[in-house]
Amino acid sequence: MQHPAPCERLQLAMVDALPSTPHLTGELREHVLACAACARVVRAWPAASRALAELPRRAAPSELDSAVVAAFHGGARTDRALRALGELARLSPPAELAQALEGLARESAGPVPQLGRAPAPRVLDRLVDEELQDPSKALVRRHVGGLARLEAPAALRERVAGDFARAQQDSRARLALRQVFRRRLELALGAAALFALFVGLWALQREPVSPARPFRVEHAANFGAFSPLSRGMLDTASSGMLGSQRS
Amino acid sequence: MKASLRTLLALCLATLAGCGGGLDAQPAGSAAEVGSKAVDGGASAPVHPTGAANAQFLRRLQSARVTVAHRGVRRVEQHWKIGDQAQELSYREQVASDGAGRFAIEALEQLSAGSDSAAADTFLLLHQARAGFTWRYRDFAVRDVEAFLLNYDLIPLGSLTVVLGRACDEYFVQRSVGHAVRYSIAVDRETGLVLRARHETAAGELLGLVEYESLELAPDLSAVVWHTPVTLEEPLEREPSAAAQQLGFRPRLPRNDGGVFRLMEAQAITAPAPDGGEQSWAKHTLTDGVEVLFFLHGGSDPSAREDVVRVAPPVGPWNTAEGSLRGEKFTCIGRVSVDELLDVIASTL
Repeated sequence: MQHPAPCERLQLAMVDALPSTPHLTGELREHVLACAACARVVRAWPAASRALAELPRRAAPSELDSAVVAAFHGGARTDRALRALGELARLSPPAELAQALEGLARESAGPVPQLGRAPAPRVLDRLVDEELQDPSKALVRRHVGGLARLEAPAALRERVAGDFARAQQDSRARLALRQVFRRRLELALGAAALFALFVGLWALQREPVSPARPFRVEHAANFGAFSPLSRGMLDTASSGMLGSQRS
Repeated sequence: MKASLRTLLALCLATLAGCGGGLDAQPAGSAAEVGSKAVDGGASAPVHPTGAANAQFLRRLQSARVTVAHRGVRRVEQHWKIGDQAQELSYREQVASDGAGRFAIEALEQLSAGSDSAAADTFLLLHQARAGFTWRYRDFAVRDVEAFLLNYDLIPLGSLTVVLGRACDEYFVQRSVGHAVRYSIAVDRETGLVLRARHETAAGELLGLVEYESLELAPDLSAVVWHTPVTLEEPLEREPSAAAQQLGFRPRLPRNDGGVFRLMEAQAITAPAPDGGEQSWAKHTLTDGVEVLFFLHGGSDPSAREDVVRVAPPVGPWNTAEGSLRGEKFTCIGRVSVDELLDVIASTL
């Protein structure tokens, strides 16, 4: 079914007014009264607008973002290219130019020789080539590079400063604890060394005892308690020294 | 005085371990038969690889005094201390060997000052009785080559020395385990006889000296009275039940676990008992390669109340420990440290 022009205008007005109800002019209001189809559309519009509003919101394609950014920053690209060119190192004049100028000076009159076209610097070739190879990457690099650097919020600054102060306090506390521990360790080692010294001296004064042997050992002062067998063998072994020792 | 001398002489004759057999009456457990056994002396024995050449030299050193027929006069010195007082015994003796196992030792004169003639005569008489022990155990000798290689370092001094006009090589023999002692020996190049031996502590303190003052090789020995065994001892049966029957009790043996000492001989001896009777003992002679140690086990001791070992004061380089352990009597005498004696006793339990 073909709608007359007022029907299309009514639909555009209703879409423009979304999500609220459109305010209809006198012409369109008369048209709604006369057009049954538009009248149905107007009656169904509140429910339709609510249904539209409840639909899930879809993100714009990334290409659209890039296109929008490119559209906004199109002029800046030229400015940056000029800045980059200005920052390039100044090149020495070609040898042909120098020779031609010298010849011109010698002849003082005569036509200026035709110079060849100077090639662009290699770095410029490379930069342009990189941009042509991956335009999206170059665009994003430019976009990010052009962003203004944001200052950290004051609350974050205070929080970092507080954490730093607490860490320093903890470090000082650990250092103090370590010093206390070291002093106590030195005292303990000193006490242990003294104890070992006293035990050693005490052990030296005692009769040597070997706990690994399953018997008690007595050190006799003379040979009186020893058997005749032991005395006889010892006297023989020592070529009579035992007899001399006893006498 | 005479009674006490007779008693002492009788004790010596009856109980001396080495006097009886001599080399002309080899015991059942001779070095050749039991030389591979090792007895724990407490300390672990590090290995000193002195090489096959040294082993060959040591075997020559071990056999020379028995296989080389000779006769000579030796000067003997023994030094010891009683408390801090230094004591000395020095004398001359004549020694003879027929190169086939027979030997004779006779004391000629006592050189120490301060001995009266009666004491000197007594010494000469007793020295005759100790001849077997003197020949077999008193002097420096390599008694077990394998044990020697384990327990001693043989250090050639590299210098030629002359004793009695004969070319000799000098060596240091240093004990490398347990208590440290050393010998400085001069070995005759031609015969392998030790013509001079100094026995010293690790600090260089002289303990003994034996030096030939005269020497004849292949002498006329027709007039020599050879040593004959005079003590009551016999080889100990090697089979334990037979040994128990021989002794009347089961003998305890030092443990064989690769320690410092090795078994040289095992004998059964009869000695006077305290009650006046006689008593059998099992006597095991051990060596670390040079020094000797006698371990005697006397069977049950009814008077024993606790496990205790008494250590006697040292007599020169000799130490003695005896006691009752688990109701049985033990005696251990050796030219080694007290700790080594006690370790050997403990190893038998």
